[in-house]
Amino acid sequence: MISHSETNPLREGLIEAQVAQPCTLVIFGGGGDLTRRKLLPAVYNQALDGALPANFAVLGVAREEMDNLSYRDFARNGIERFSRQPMDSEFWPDFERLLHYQQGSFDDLQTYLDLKEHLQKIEPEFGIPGNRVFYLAIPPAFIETCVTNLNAAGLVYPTDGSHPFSRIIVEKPIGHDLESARQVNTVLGKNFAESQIYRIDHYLGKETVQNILVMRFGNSIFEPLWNNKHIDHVQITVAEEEGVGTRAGYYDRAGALRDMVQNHILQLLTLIAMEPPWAMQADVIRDHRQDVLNCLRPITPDSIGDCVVRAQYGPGFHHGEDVPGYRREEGVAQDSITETYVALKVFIDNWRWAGVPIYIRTGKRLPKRVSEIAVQFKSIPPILFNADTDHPLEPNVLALSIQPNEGLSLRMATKLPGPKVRIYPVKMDFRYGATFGDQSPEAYERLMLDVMAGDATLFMRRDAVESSWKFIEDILEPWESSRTRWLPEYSAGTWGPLEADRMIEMDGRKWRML
Amino acid sequence: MAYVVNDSESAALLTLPEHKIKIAQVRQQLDSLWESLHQDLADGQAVTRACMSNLIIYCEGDEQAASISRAIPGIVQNHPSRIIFLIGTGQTSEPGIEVFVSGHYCALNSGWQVCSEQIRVVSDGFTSRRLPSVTRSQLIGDLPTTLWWAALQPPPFAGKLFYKLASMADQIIYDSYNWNNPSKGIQAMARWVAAEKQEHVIFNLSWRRLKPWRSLLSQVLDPQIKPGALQNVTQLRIEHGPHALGMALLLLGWLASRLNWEPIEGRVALDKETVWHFTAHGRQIPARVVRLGGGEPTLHRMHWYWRTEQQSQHIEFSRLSDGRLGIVEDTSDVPTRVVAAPPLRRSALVAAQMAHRTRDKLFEEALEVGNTMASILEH
Repeated sequence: MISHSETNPLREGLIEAQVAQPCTLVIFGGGGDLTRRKLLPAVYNQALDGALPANFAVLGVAREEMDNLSYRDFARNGIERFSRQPMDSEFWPDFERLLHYQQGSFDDLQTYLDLKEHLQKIEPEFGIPGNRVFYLAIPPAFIETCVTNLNAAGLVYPTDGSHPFSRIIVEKPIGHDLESARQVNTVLGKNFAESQIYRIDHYLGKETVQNILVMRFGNSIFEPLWNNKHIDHVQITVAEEEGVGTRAGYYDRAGALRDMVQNHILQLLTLIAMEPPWAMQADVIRDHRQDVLNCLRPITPDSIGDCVVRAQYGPGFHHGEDVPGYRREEGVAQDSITETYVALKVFIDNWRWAGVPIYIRTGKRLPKRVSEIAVQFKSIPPILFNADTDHPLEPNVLALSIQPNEGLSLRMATKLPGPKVRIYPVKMDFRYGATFGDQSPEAYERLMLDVMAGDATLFMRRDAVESSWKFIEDILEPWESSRTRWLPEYSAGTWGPLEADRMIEMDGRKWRML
Repeated sequence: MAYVVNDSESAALLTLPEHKIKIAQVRQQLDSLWESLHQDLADGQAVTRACMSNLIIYCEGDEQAASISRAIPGIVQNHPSRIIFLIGTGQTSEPGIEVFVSGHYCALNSGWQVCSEQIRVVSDGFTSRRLPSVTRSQLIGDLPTTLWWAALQPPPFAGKLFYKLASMADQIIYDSYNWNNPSKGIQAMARWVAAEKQEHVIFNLSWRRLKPWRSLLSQVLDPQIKPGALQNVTQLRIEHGPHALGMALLLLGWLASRLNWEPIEGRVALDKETVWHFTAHGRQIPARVVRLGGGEPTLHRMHWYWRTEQQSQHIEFSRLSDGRLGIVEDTSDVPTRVVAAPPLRRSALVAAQMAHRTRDKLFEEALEVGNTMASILEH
């Protein structure tokens, strides 16, 4: 594909970060829940904001029986319910013209041959020069057949610079374990070049997550403290208040470790722990993130008892209402030993992080939906204001809140007004919504524009996916071979099992109250 | 895109009543405004302040002031700021300067958040030279400062008053909309910008209004999509509404600077039409800028003509209603397309620009070409 900046001087400096290129977005699973709730609303918001390329179209591919008109109704319904910006009836007729639908089975080559024909009809109509983004919003089991058929139908162009682009977006989970992840990656690699593959993790599209790099490397005050001399420990929490809901079929096979830690949380960890990149280029940043994964201390059968806790929620309360335990949820086996909560203590064995524990917890049916990364600095020496060892001063904490309110806060000691010296911890708070006012784009909006612009910075590379699985598999294997029939239980609506409290308290620390 | 002249903002902000005070009492009066908010709240809630910048606004006359007042909530909702609102020739109850304070705030779950403390300073015109000193004492330290020059004359025409206010700011925002003589204004600004070098970020709101046009032109005329459209352009025609000549010149300046067109001749063909000739690749490119008899004060249409080996080609870009732009290609099979170009109120333009802290090289180059075009036209 010819680079725009080389040939089109009008493009220069137009959009600071990215220039989405003309293309057709082909959504496999175009009639599914992800498409209705996230993808089509994201495209609609981009269109309303004038961020989409002028030459652009959407083609949904799915098994459901629909035509263009009913697909547009389907899209409108999703957009009215889930869009960040309200439906604009004046603009809708212009937008809906972009939406097309094709019915077909993912495992039938004819679907892809029809798709090719369909695209060749749509593209001239919209002045699209053959660029295509294929979004696989489909169950993982279909990935292999889908990418193989795309290639077999001649829908994947080479990356030799003389063809339009073909890019593919793959949703998590990539595999179920290391072997299956490698298998998926191998299939993807046989049919697409690595530079054409965008493994999406919507957490990385959130403002706060992107702000981690700016905070660390755009300010001079944090980086000198960002090491084992000054940081006591890090806590990463991803808490969900909902139960398993309608995802029991998937979740009961996956569990919290696969569902959250393998992807979202380890990616957050890489941003917190990476060394300063020397350029804001996709592969430079991804190399540095990969270095962190390479340095993760493996969990061994000897250490797993001290470093990992898994648990399942039992009956309890959610907003004052009775809720059932996990094993009583619809679609969950009554003897399921799938963990709905996991807590880990991990170490990064490199010069910067040596000896700094990183505590991770994630679970369902916790008291509230909150995701946070908290960096706790070391306590000041027990002299002067901290001389009372019975009542030590609370250490400084830098907390990055990812959801529901994106922002960051810094806890610091301050003197209470009055004649006596009384120290009180106060919080300096920064919230994106409150400070900048404007609505931030949804993560999917940002990430899809990145794909159209060819920017892979916020996407996972093959080596990252496989390293994450390798780390996780050291935990999964002992679990699977233990043949336990019972997991520690926590009451729904509480912050997890006692075992997790004990794990961190053994180190003289405690979980943050969120 | 639409430019809303009388932008009555629908910001979900509450405004504290304005109090007339003495200049020396500004701080105490602002403290008491905070106090009054605290008193309204139940236990456990708090008043917080969000403040990203100082914004000095200068305008002249009560009519302009009323229009700016309507825009302020929309600015501070997006970019919380200390507002120092200067009215150069306003109505005062007695000779001299009068000062008023008020604030804008919004409800948060945990209480109120003040988005703006506003200090409005009205001069009777004879005392406007005192405005810089009043301003200096009211700036919050350690914050970026923007001067929004909202008067209808180009900033350098105001002389010392402008230069003194500019010396307090990191960024100067102005608007070439409604200038009496856009050519002279562009020349004055281009000279000042060139002399400024790295001192300030300087920005014309009309440039930001052009963004959807620039985006659309760059996409639709991309060599990958329309081979030769940029390289082999034969002529173009820009149609604009009243008061939007400045915008049209900026757009033309941008095209010329990006595509290495050199302006060689410019003449006023009719009262409503100016024709420039550029050279590029050894060819002449005529560009007509035509003022329409009515309509909104913005760009309305652009016709782009070029030649391929086979035939002449033409694309028309049109501003439609409801903040949309249409593209018609009468020499291809691609049917009419419509893209969103959301109308931006003046408050949104100012707030968006306040978040930008670096000079815009493209704008400055466009301005420079605009300056050359204006010089050619004069002679």
